[in-house]
Amino acid sequence: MKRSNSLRKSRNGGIYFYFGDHAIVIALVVFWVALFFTNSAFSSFSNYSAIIKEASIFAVAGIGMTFAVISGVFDLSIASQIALSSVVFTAILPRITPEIPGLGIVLSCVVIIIMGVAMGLINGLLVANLRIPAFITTLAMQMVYRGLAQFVNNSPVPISSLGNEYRSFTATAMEDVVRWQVGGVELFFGRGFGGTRLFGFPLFFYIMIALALIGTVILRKTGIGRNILAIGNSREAAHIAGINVPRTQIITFVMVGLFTAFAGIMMTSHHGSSNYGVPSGTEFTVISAVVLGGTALAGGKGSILNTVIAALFIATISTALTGFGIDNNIHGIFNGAILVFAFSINTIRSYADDAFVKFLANRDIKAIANKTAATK
Amino acid sequence: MEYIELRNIVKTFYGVKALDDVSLSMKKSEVHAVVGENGAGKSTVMKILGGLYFADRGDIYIDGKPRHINNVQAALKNGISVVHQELHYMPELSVAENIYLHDLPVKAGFIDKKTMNKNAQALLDGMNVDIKATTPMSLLSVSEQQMVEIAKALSHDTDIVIMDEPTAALNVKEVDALYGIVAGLKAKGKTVIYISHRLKEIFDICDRVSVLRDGKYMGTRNIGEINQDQLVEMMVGREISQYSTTADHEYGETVLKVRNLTKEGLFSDISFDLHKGEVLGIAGLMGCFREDIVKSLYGLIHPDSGEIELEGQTVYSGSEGVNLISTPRKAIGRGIGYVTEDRKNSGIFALMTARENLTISIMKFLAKFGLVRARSEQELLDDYTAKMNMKYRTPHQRINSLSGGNQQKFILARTLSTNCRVLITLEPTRGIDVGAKSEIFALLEDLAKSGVAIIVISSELQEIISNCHRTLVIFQGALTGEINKEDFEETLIMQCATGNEVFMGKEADGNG
Amino acid sequence: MGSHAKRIKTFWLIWDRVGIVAIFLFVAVIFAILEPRVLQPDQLLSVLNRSSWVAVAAIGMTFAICSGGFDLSVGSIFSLSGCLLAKLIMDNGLSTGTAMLITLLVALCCGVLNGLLITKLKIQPFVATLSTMLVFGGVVQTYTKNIGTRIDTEQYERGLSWLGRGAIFGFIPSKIFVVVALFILAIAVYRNTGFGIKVRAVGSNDLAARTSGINADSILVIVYTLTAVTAAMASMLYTSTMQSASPGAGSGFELDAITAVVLGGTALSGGKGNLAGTFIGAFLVAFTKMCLNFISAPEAMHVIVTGAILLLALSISGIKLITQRVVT
Repeated sequence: MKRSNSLRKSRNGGIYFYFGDHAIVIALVVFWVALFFTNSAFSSFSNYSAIIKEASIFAVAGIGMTFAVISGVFDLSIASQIALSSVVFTAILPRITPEIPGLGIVLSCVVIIIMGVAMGLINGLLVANLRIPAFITTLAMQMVYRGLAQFVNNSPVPISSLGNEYRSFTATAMEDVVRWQVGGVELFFGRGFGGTRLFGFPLFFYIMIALALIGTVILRKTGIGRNILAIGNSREAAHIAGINVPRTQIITFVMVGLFTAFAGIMMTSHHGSSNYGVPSGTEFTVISAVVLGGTALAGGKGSILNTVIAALFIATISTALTGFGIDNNIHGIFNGAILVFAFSINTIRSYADDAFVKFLANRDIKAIANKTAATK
Repeated sequence: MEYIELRNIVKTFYGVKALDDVSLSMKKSEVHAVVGENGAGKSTVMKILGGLYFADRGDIYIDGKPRHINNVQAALKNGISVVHQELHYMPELSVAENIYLHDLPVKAGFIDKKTMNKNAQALLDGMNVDIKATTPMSLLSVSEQQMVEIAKALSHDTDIVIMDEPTAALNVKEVDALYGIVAGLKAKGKTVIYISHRLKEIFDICDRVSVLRDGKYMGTRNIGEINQDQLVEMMVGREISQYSTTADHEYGETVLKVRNLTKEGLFSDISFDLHKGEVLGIAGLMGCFREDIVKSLYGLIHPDSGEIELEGQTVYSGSEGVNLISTPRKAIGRGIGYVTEDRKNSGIFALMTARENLTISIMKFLAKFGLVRARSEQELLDDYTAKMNMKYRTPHQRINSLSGGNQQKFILARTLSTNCRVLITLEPTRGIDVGAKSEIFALLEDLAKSGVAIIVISSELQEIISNCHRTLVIFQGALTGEINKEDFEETLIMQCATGNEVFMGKEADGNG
Repeated sequence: MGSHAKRIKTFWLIWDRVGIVAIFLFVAVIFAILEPRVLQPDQLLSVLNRSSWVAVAAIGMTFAICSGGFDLSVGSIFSLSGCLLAKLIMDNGLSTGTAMLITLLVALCCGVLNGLLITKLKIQPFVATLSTMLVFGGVVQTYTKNIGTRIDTEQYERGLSWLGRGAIFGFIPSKIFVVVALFILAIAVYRNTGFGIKVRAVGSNDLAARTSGINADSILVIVYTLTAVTAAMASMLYTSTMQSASPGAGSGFELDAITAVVLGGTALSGGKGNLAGTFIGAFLVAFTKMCLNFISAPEAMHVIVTGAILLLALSISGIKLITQRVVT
């Protein structure tokens, strides 16, 4: 009885070989400290602030993706969603010229968010009603959204004919038009939106933290969030407990669309322009962040704050790689390797666990054998 | 020394002894039955012999030599093939491919389909069943699939054939065919180990019978020297006075009326009443579809015909096409609660906290402006903790770190939180320790006294005997018995569960 | 109830045989109305030519999907193989035969890697191949520094031109000959070898296959190796036709292959492949692309239509599952 107890404990991942739910936090701190002391390029505050800025976009998209992975699915269409948001954002912003400064930006943001929700809704309806695997549905939708983005970008009436003029116009609009007074602090949007600082941190940092907190509250403190967690744990149990599983699945995709829209707005203002091709591959970085952050691949548990930390971690590594002068082209290999690592952590862990259990069992058997030998 | 000898086999699952020092022996070319109640360990023994499980301790001797059987291949090499109770087949492949997948005939690098189909057809014809070898497996009925499963085992042409509940899915004609197959094997000098819940079959075709009870070996008898009652006695083996019977309060008016409920292939013509404050047991052996009957009361299975009346209102009527309880959500809304038998996979949300597990069904009522009020959640938890004596370190503990009994209490509490008037519990004490078992039943009794109508499905007969007012007995999807508390007797229930009909219900309107 | 169920079953049985042809006719009619020239024989022949690489890669994909998995890395392997072949010939001065052999070996290693990730590290096939898609893509970019390679005419004439632009008996394009030969071989393997049956067994019911004594892990490794090798072959056809290779050639290619397979009637749930359907599916994909060219649709339209066709194919298989589940 005692032996089986000790076996069970280690089987649950318990104490012997434990990455822990918050391993990523420790990893990030260790990594930052190490970089700080070993690399002169990393010993200034501005470097970390640049990393945070880069990471924040992935982190915000990662909040949405965390919902998806927790519910047991992936959304591979988010890069295209960002592309479409970005293109539409830059297309409508110059056309809105209201009296009140800043309102144009706000209205455009609202439009983009509504669009993001709509894209999530479409994905969700397809997945919940057609019963085809989510990853391949979203893979197909990714093409549709990207095609639409190209379409908007090249549409004959408008944008491409404006060319560089248009670009600079957008940039100007974003830089100069928008200037908000908030509690005595001036916030600049536009290229400034990306560049604005508050108490030394980029504005993006605060947006990221705010959205992460909102996401966490939704996940843990609302019926929607609990239902998403529940279907990720067991669809059958959720069904029996009276949860509307298809509807919850749809809401999950809406969540993804919502946060992806925020990421799209941030990405656009970061670059000061749109490009329907730029964020290709973003989905993989985002998924890596979610999985490295400890969200269970099979669904059911996860932490949004850890996703954010993992996004910082990945951004740090990629900045460090660039800092060490490593070929940009290798980043693809690196991204893939991170994914493989993230996805196989559990298996590696269970192999190690099995080995340990075997070791314990052998030891027990030997002890029993010794005992019986001794009593004889 | 006998032909097959199992000596001192011990097998433990997660600290529970499934087999405790079991020794069995079989003679060459006999048909040897192994019987016992649910959970007696029959299937475990056979899985050890068939290479699916490996015994913790003990030895296997065949033909006088010790054998090491650690996987299916090793079992086959030692001349043992198994007809499994669960069907393992590949729906997309043809019957012949399913049978010969382990040993495909090859000619010049390619599969010799002609030979394969011919052999398979010959095998099936020899079994006296009407199945074409080239049909895709998915087009067969369940009983035909079972026959193919038997053909697969025979195709190995081994000296020992184990049949684990081979007739569970067969109809009368096919059972006859099976009898022929078994007789043929015996005539060829092969040994058949036959496991079945249907005692009649054992008396029809077996030479000897060994009995297991609670993982222990109880003895072996020649079929000629024992009758059905004595065999049941050996399987059950307890004195009735061992149990204290509770459930002595009176129950009230009818809450749930089920009439002629039928689902093709699962159960047919089920009728019963459930009363306010009553604890109704449903007994039956594994694979008798008793779970499916109650699942259709909770929207998990949609019946084909019949009627269900809940609190005076028709909630399901096959003829009128009414189904107001077509999903669990709707059933909950009508005051039906359901506690699953598979706690791990369809009961708990393993990675969520204990408190979250409790409140998940009533999030709507705990939220204010969409946000769940932690205080209401905690109040609910405190309330049930006091009522049910639940034990946990903190409310934020993951539920899978609690003991089985406490997990079960949480699931029960979750179901009760929806204010159900009819509570369906499947195997409420499966996999939990003795102390918690009696607590669970004490809780159920309290609930019944407060007016909840309770259905209990349990594989452990003494639980039903000690705790229920009445019990229904199901055999092969049909109601074969309705027994009142005064007449409870384990052997009587077993008689019904193995196919004899007894009706002693108050209304005695059984239509078997 | 019974007759209704039977009717649904019969419908899908017929659909499995002729569904892809029906879709093809439907698409053909629509485009023929938009632009009648698309149905001229020489146009169709050129479509057949252009469908060849998707068709070859779809052979491997059919086996992968039939085994119950997916391979998303074929696009990257496609790029990698093409660039490797071209660079080995141009930069390292290898003969065409040697270069092809080395390319196939590299693809084989990629496939084995995929197979091991799936069976040993137990990563879901689509996630594993998604990761290796990035890895192999990174390898191509690093190896080529993101620059394409053109094979000069002198080298090209030594073998590759025969494959890409040559003909057998003067009128059968050699590419088409190769494709048809590969398909006949694949169908024979699928229908008549132990491997074929075992792939279906694993895809149909992994557990049952394992209890029947099949080494499912090694079957899966072979399947993913096969997928990678056919992707490399496809890339050779492509490179030999274009006389050049570029690191971006394979982007989105995996989706074309999957579309061809799913359109062709291979079940997403595994266990049931339809190679003849895959062939028609590949043709349909190429045909649609050509038609879009003909009506001079913008590039965006191509992307959208490709996604929409995949979605359509998926929806059909999804609806099939739903209706069948309702009856059982």
